[in-house]
Amino acid sequence: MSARTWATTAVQVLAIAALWLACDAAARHWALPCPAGVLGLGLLLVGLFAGVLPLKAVAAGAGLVLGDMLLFFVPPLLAISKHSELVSVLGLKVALCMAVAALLVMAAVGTVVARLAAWERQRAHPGVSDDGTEPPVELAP
Amino acid sequence: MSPELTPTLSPALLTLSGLLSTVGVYALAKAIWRRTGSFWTSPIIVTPTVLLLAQATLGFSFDDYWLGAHWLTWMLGPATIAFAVPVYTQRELIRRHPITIAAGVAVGLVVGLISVTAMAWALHLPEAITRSLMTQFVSSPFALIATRHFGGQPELAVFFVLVTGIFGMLVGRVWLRALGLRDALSLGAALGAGAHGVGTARAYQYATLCGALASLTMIITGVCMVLLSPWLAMGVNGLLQR
Repeated sequence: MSARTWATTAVQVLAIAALWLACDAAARHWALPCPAGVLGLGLLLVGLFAGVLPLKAVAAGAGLVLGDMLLFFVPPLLAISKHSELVSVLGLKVALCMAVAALLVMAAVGTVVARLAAWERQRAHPGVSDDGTEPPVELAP
Repeated sequence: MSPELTPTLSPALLTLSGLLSTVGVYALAKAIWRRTGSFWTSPIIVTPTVLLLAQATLGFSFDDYWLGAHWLTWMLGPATIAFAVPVYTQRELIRRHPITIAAGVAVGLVVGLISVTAMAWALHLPEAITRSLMTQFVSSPFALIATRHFGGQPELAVFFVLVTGIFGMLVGRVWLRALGLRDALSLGAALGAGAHGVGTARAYQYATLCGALASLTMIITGVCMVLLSPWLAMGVNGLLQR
């Protein structure tokens, strides 16, 4: 990456951070029920859709922040060492709870989405058997 | 160095050490992962493991570490804003499948909360853990905001988010195939709703469409969870008090 690209990306990250600070101040000042992050997300989306802000003005900075998000949530994760109670049967129970819930969520969402996507394709192209222009993408085995 | 300087210098050094150690381990983990490419050497596994081992062996206190490292976590706020970019670039997919996406998000949120509450009740999990589990299906920046409303503990909430993501990523495709679901859209939505960021990264490896829907599902689910959490928490409170 060239120095210029680095500088652009850094400025964009700072701009996104500044937007968060402004949203945080606004949310506190007017006691908004919406947290700063979500408020900023909404504002940025409005800016992009309205054409006020070109995508390339934020894309590199957003890409960096999202791509390295893991770095940001590692610190609170380390406090897990306070919870030695999880290294026991309780830990196994928690794992079972998480796993079953995850399987149920994925099964429910997958089933509903498969049905609705087929119906939505049908609606967009009536008469065409499931779809003429946009076949469901089958994944390779 | 004069002795009277030490008290003013050491907090600054302490602050820097927490910050730099995290960035350093992460950067190193990322460099190694670029060479090996296997999931088990990816930064998401290596970074927390190395830092937790260092914490256990060197015995540094979490409070000292947090002094500097919390600036990294502060960035989760701006990161939430950055989610606007993938939503905007995938606007065509939203235009084509608005109902599918909305239904995927709604089903994921409702089934997630109900199944966690039911399982936690059936297994007699302690209340602090149950409350921290409520946000296991949303991406960490959203989970950290929402868990306050549910009365969860941040470190537990983030840990459960991470474990859920890894589990969903590992089993998602096999599980959906067992259910006879093989198309990119259903797998993408399922990974986005059930394994958020980790699942989304894997979904992009399957197919671009799969990853795009996973990313949209994850972001919209996170936003809905954050906006609805005060009310959802009231419902959960009602259930937990029975």
